[in-house]
Amino acid sequence: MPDPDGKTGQIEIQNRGGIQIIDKPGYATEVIDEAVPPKPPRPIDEKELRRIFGGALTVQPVPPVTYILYFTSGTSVLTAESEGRLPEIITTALQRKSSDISVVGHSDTVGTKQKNYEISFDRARMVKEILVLKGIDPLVIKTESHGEDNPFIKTPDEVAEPRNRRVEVTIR
Amino acid sequence: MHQRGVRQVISLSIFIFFMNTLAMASSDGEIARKHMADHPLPAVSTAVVAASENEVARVKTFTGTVSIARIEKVIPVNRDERIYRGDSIQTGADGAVGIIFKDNTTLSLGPNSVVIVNEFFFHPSQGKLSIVNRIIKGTAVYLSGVIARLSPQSVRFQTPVATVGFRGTKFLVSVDE
Repeated sequence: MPDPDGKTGQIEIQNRGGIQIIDKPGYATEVIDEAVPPKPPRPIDEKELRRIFGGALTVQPVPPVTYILYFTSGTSVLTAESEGRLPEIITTALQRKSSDISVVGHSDTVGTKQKNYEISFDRARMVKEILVLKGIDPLVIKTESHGEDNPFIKTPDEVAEPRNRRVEVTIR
Repeated sequence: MHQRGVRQVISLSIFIFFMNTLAMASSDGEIARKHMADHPLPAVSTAVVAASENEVARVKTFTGTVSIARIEKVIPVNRDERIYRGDSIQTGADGAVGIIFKDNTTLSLGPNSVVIVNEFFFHPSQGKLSIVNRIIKGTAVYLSGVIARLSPQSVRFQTPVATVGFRGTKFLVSVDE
């Protein structure tokens, strides 16, 4: 699925010799020297991929899971629907035996930057409290605030956007 | 809507990028030390770095010999080992390691690899976003995280012969000796 803004991935490989862009999955380029431009991309098959990258592919970490909880405007009160998601979060955290959980508060852009930073922090602290009450070790939870600066949906300033009033609980 | 982390992973494409370099056949530690000598980190005393900086990533999986060179020390890794800015992660001939950064970027290394975590800032509220890693040798699989989504130009993966810039992408790198 593309990013929220609809774009899909691409990489650019650059050195003193020049630049090469790869925007198709399963393509590779080769670079022999810092001063020689990267070669044009060519397709690479699964077998070659495994041969070269087998070791690194085998130990790829299980990707973190992120849960998003939503709040009523200007408050640190969870919406009823989000309240109902809590048991699943607790179960996942306990099943993974995670020692690395981040709880990050976010807001929409209504109000001052500073105020939104504070509200977002309150939201994060509130969620941490709930998780601790349900049996998660407080030492593995880190709370943070990203205020209005890490929106789920990008908006101009002073736009009420329920999807941005959130806490993201990431279980790694 | 709810499990964004998982859905992003499924959505991403796989890209491959491999190369040959003339890296000398010296030991991992020697290569890393030489690199550190040639590319010193910003002048902050080591004690201050250790005391004031938060971890930037954690080891999640590993097999065989894996160590972290931090300042003057070499530390064998365990699961959940913390990784700090400036650390050099090294795998032996039988080693492989997978780590997750605080912005959910995942990075895994195959055998005989050395990667240095040059830069990592994940503070959107202060406008400070940056993730710069450098592979000295070996193989790596990289899956970009939140920093790449918020600020693609702040993400770089350096190799001896070229730099990779990207967004929302998984790619693989191999540096031959």
